[in-house]
Amino acid sequence: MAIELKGICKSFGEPPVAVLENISMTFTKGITCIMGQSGIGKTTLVNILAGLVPPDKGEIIGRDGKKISMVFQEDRLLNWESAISNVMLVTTAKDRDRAIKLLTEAGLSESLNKKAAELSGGMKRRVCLCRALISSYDILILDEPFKGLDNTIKPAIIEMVKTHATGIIICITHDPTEAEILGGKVITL
Amino acid sequence: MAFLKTVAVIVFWLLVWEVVTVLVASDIVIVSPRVAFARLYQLAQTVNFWVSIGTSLGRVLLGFVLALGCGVALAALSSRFKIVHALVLPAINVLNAVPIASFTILALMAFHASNLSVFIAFVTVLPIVFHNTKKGIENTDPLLLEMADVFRIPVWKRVLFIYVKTVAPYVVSAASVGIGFAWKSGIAAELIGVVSGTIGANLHNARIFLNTADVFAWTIAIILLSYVMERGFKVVFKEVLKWQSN
Repeated sequence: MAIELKGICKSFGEPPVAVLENISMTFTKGITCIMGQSGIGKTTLVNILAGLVPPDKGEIIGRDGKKISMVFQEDRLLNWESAISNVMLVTTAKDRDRAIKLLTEAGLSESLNKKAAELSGGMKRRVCLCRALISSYDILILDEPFKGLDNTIKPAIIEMVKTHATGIIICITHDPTEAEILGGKVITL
Repeated sequence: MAFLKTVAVIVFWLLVWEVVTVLVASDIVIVSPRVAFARLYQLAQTVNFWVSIGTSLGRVLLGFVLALGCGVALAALSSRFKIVHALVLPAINVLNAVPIASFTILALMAFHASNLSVFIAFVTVLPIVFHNTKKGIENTDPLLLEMADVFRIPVWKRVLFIYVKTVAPYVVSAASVGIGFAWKSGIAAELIGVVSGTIGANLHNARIFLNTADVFAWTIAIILLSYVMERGFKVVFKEVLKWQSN
């Protein structure tokens, strides 16, 4: 199972400023970390991969029919819903025990019923990660999933990703240490 | 303090009313507050008074509730399907532009008079609910909708968890404005259509027989009912918003 980007180009604005120029890469089963400076186009690349942004040029081979799950750059949580509701939103009632287990593993057992709006930035990020992990998927896209996590909890959350994530996993990170702990391939843009 | 201020304002305007009555000195043009309230008290002892109020209130509320349901449904369909929007928008704009009197006369030709205030309350409130709900739907966070697309969240969950929460304040705001409009337009339609056994018909009869005390008494009743209804709905809407924020 693989997904291939071929000659991807993307520009924004008027006059157009090229963000991605002739990008080709292949993602296979396992973890691939994408690294690079801010503004280089990492998020644009994964948004193209997820089908959220159309490329100006190029093709994506092997994505059709594949289910995608994602931790977005923004949290995109329902602030008026509890942590558990936000996770359950993307799955069915039979997964409730699994959702509680994931949230507990993420250190959120005390906050299952707290509204997303009441959670700290780091806690919200962990809810996003649990939501992405519980959803059924072939491709898991993680756009800076550890952003805002303090160093005491970060290693455990990285381990959690390594334990639960399956299929093709694409992770954007700024931190070489995160990429190293995650293991797998590293692509620098 | 606020209560005393309100009482003082009411007393002031009752005095103005009394002075105008003395100055005009014609029972056909204006009656004093004392006469108007005494007549209202007399009317309130009759069965006809309460039957008329019950009939008018029931019909206006029915029209209002129907408009609320149809307005929300049409706004949802209109936001989802461009063709529905293209078809519905001109009709809503016509409803907005046509005067209540024209609608009443047209409706009288088409419907039984007893349904008149239901219809008029409906056509008055529908555009308000439609536009507000549509605005609410359009203001739904696109990032959340994109998230729902990525996770393939089914439509019923999107409606229940994303749209309802976002759109509820807009619907509540439309309803709280619409209830007053429904009431006033409904009574006006009953008056024009002389729908028997209603507040409007009683007002009409009072005018025909130059019974100014009755006109004033019924008008006071309408104002009081309007106040009670708006207050009642505000309590309901407050509860809805409280539920929505929980």
